[in-house]
Amino acid sequence: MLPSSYHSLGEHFKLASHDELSKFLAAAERRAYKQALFAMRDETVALDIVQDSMLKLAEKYGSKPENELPMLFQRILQNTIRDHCRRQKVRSKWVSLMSSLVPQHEEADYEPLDSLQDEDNNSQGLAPDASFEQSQLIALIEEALIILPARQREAFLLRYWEDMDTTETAAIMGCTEGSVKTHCSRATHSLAAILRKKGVHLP
Amino acid sequence: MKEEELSHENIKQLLNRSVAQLERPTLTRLHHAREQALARYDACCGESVSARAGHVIWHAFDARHKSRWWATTLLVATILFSATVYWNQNAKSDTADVDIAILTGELPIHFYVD
Repeated sequence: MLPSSYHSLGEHFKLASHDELSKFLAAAERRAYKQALFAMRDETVALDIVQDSMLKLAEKYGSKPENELPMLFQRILQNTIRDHCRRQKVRSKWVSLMSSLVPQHEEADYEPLDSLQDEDNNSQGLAPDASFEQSQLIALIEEALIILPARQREAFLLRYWEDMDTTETAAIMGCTEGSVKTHCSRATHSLAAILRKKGVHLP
Repeated sequence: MKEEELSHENIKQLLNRSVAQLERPTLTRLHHAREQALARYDACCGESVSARAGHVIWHAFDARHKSRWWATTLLVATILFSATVYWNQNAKSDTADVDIAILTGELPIHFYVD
């Protein structure tokens, strides 16, 4: 359910056209991909999630008013991410059950902050120092976001990256505004702690 | 408080820069996904013309216009009631005319033929 404050009188009748939907998706797709990537840690799965979300939006809600699209898309995206996580969990349970006799990888020892170097970036060596430092900082922040608990990351990204207010974030996440504030506060503290450990002090 | 807001703003800017540096294959795949979604939208669009009309009508009477909704309902009910009463009275006067005609012996010939 969308909060009533989100609707403004008169804008109700501006239903999204093909061009408006196209423009909206073009603006949202990259951030959506990153959000899915932070949650799933797999590029292919993240792309699948974004594609599924776009298709659902276009098919079921494409004719909704233009101003409702960002919230609807975010809600669909977050639900799709959660569905994929659940499916992955079930699948990994079965896999671990079936391969209980075979020695397993130590996944618990995985520490994303150990692999901060952006190995795929071929231009790293040629880039100026400032640019290099910035890409390192971006990598640090992204790795820190990956480590965050899912709900904290979701709340943090919706509030501070997607610029949703507390009411909208609560509607998307299906929780109370108080929970959103708690998640955001915890996420901010966790991020600050993780980044501080790596010697990064944001101004 | 000011410092915290700045931090969030910085993180936002850095994430936006990161998004701007996505690799070509990823961007191509996203573009294809968008194209598919728009094709799906076009396919559904024709079917949903009536749905759109319904949507508009429904939203014309949303929570903010409940009074207008009730006023319209009341108006329609009043018109229906008035029409029913008028029709009943007409029917009554019709039979009264026939009764009078029978009593005075001036009933038109087609009543006997029928």
